[in-house]
Amino acid sequence: MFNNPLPARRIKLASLSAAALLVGGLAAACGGSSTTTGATSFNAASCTGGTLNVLDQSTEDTGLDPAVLYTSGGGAIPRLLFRTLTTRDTTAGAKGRTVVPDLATDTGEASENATVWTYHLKSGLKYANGEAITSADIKYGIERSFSSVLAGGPPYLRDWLVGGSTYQGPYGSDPDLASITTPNPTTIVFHLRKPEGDFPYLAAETQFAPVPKADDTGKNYNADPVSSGPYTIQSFTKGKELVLVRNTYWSRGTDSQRLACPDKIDISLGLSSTVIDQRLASSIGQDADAITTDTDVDTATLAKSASQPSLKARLTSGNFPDTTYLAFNTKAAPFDNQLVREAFSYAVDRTSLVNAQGGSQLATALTTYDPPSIGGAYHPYDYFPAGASGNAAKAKQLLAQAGYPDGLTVTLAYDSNGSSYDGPANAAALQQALAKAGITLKLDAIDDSNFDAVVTNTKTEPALSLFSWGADWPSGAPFLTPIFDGRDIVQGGGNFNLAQYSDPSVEAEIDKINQITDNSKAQAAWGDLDAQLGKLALTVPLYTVNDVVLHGSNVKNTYVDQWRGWYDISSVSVK
Amino acid sequence: MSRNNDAQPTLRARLWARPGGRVALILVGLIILIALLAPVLTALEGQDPNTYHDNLLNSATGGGPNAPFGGISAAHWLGIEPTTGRDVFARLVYGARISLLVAAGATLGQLLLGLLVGLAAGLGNRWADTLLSRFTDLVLSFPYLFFSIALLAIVPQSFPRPVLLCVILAGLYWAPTARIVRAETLVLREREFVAAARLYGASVWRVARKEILPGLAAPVVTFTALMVPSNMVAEAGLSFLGLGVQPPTPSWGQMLSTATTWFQTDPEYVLVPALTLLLCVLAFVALGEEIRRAVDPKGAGR
Repeated sequence: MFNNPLPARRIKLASLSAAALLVGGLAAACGGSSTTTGATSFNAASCTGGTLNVLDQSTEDTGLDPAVLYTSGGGAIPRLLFRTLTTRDTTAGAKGRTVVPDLATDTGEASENATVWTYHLKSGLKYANGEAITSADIKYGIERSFSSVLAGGPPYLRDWLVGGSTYQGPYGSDPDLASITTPNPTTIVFHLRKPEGDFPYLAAETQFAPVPKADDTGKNYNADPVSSGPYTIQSFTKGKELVLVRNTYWSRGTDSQRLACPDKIDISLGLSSTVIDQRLASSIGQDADAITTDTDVDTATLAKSASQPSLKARLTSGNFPDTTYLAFNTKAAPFDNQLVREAFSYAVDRTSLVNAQGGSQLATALTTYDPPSIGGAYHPYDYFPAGASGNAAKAKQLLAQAGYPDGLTVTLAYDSNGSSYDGPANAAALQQALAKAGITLKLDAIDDSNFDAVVTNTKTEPALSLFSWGADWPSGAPFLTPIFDGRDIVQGGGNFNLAQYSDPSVEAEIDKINQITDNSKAQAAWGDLDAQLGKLALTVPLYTVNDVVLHGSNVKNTYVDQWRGWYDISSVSVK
Repeated sequence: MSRNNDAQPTLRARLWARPGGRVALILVGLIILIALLAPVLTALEGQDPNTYHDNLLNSATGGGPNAPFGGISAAHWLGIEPTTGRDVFARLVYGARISLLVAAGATLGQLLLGLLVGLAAGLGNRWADTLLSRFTDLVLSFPYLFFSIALLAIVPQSFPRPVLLCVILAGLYWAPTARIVRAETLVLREREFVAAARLYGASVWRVARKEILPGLAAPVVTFTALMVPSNMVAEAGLSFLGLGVQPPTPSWGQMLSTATTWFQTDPEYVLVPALTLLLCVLAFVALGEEIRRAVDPKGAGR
C-alpha cells in the first residue's frame, strides 16, 4: 500500500525532535483505562485564565511548520496553533480514538469507492491575523508539504493522491497539484489513486492545516506560522522556550474540540526527563501549574506512588496503540517452518518481559498483533497459549515434530540502546525463557543508530529480531498493512513486512477493507484479518506499553488521550 | 647491578611486614579468589546469575522485589534484581570477573605501551625524543571520556566488549606511564653502568632490557599498581553509560546503572554494587600505596 512507508514506529522515536508525540508509551488495558483527575472541581464554562507551564524534553529544533511536523492526531502543542480538516475527539476514554470534524463540517464525504473525498468548511473561521480561512489555503498547505525543502511529514499523501508521486510542491515550475480542487472558498475535494477508507484519519495531520499563501516564508515559516488555533506564538526560542498567548479571533463557537482554558501557555523546552519527573513530582510553586507533553513517569516515581496517595492521585494513564513482538523472517531457516514459529510462540515468558518494562502498570502482555488499545480492530485470540510464563513442554514437543528433538540455536537481533523499548532487558529475558524449551538464543546487539537499517533491509534482515510497531492513527490499516501486505515488501531498506509474507488472498482482503467507509465495519474487518493472520504465527506478539504521566497538583481536567498516549493539552485548566 | 628477579621476593616480604600492606594484600587476594571461584560460590548459594525469578517480584508496583530489603533471604544472600528477579550475589561475583579482567588487561596494555614509548623516547636521539614526547603530550590532552564513548559507539557490537574495553583504556591511558618511564630513563642512561655496557658494544635493545628496565621497576610497579583501581572505575563508568559488556553478562557498572532508578524504593540494590566497587578500589589503592612505600621508604611522606 504505502510505496514508501516511513516507519510508523518512527513516530515514537521522532517525538522528541518533532512536536508532541510519544516517547515510550503505549497502551493496553482493555479499552479506556484512562482516568480523569481533578474533574470534580472542573467546569468548562469557568475554566479560563491563568498560565499553564509545560515541561518538555523536546527542543523543537525543527520549529513549528505544519508541512514539516510529523504528528499523531495533530500532536499536542501543534494542535493549539493549527486547526485541520478533521481532528481526534477531545475526550477521555475509548471515544478519544475517533476522528471528528475540525475546520470541516463533517469527517468527509466519500464517493467513487472511497477514492474521492469532499470537505466543506465551517463558516466564520479566521486566522490569528483576522483574515478568513479558505479551502484554497488548505490546498496550499498540503502542496507545501510536497516541497523538498519542507520534507519531514508523513508519507501517505505522496502515495495516495493522484499525481502525488511526481508533484514537487508549489515553489517550482509546476505549482498546482491537480488532484486537490477547490470549487469554492468553503469546499475542497481530494482525488485518490486508490480507495482509502482511512482518509479522515490522515486529514487530522498538521499537513491539513491552512497556510495563507501571502504569509508563506518557506523554510522560515517554522519560527512564526500563522495560527488558526486558539493560541498564537508570543515568543519562540528553539531549545529553550515557547510562549503561547490567545488568538483573539478564535472562539469556542467554531471549535468544539479545544477548550483552551489557560490565557497563556509557557513551554520550557530541552529539559531532561529526570528534571521533568522531579519537578512534576514535587509540584512546588509554578510547577503546580505544570504538565508535560512528552515525558513518561520514571519507574522510581511510579514505585514511590504506591505508598503516597497524593502522588498517585496525580498519575494519569492512557494508551497509544503499539505492539512489541518477535519478528520472524519466514524466508530464512528455521522460521520457514511454521512448527518452529509455533514453538517460539509457546515458549515466550510474557511476565518477565512485562516486568522488564517496569511491571504491569507500564506494560500489558499481548497475544494478538492488534493491541486492545486500537479499539474496533482488536480481535482477541490466543492460538498458542503460553500462559503467564511460557509452556516449555509444548514448545519442546513442537520442536521435536519440526525435526529438532535436541533443541536448536538461533540468533536474536535487538536494539542495543538500553533505554529503547526493544532493548537489552527484553533480549536477556527472552534468552532465559527460551532456554527452558531447549532453544539457545544467541544475542546480536545492533547499535540503535543502525538497527532499523539492518533489520528493515531484505538483504540484511536477521532470521529473528525484536521489533516494535506503533500506528500513525488508531486503525487496523496502518497497523496491519505495512507488516503483512506482500506488496509492501520493499527490496532493500525500509521494509516493515519482516516476515516477508505474501498471500494474494490477504492482499485482496486488504483492498476490500480499504473501500469500507463505515469506520466500525472497517475496524471489525481489520480485527478479523488480524485473527486470521495470527494462526500463521508470523510474529510472536509480546506486550503493549501503557503510558503513565504525572501532572502538577493544580492542573485540572487532565487525561491521557487514547489516540496518542499523552495529555490532551487543549483540555487542561489551571483555574 | 640488581637483577630483576631479586626485587620480587623482597617487595612481597616488605609488603607483608607492614600491617597496612598485609591487609591490602589479603583484601586483593580475597577479591581475586572470589572472582576465580564465582561458579563455586554461586553453586554454594544454589543460584546462577541469569535465572529469572518473576514469582518474587511485585509487578503491579513497578517490578521491585516483593520482600523488604531488596529480597534478601537465605536463598538470595544479597537479594534480587528489580524487574528480573536475578540473584544479586551471583551477578556480583560474576561481575567481579569482568571488573578484574578489564582492569588487569587495560593495565597490562598501558604498561607495555608506556614502557615502549618511554624507553624509545629516553634512549633515542633528539628527534625521536621530541617526536615521541610531543605525541605523549598529545595523547595526554585527549578528552579521555569522550574519546572512549565515541570509540565504543563506533565499533560493532559483535566485537567482544571486554577486549575492546581493554584496548580502548590501554590506548588512551598509557601516556602518564610513558612520561615516568622517559624521565627515569633519562636519569639512568647517564649512570656509569649504562655507559660501561655501551662501551662494551651492547645494542640499544640490550641496554634497554638489561640495564635500564631493572632500574625502572620501582617507579613503574608503584604507578601501575595505582592504575589498576583507576581502570576499574573507568570500566564501571563506561558500563554505567551502557557502553560496557552486553547483557546478560553481569558487570558492576551495569548493575549501578540499572540501580539508579531504584535508589529511592530499593536502596539495597544500589548499595551492594556501589559498596563492593568502593571496597575493591580502596583495596587496590591501598595496595598501590603500600607498594610505593615499600619500594621507596624515603618518599613515604610524599
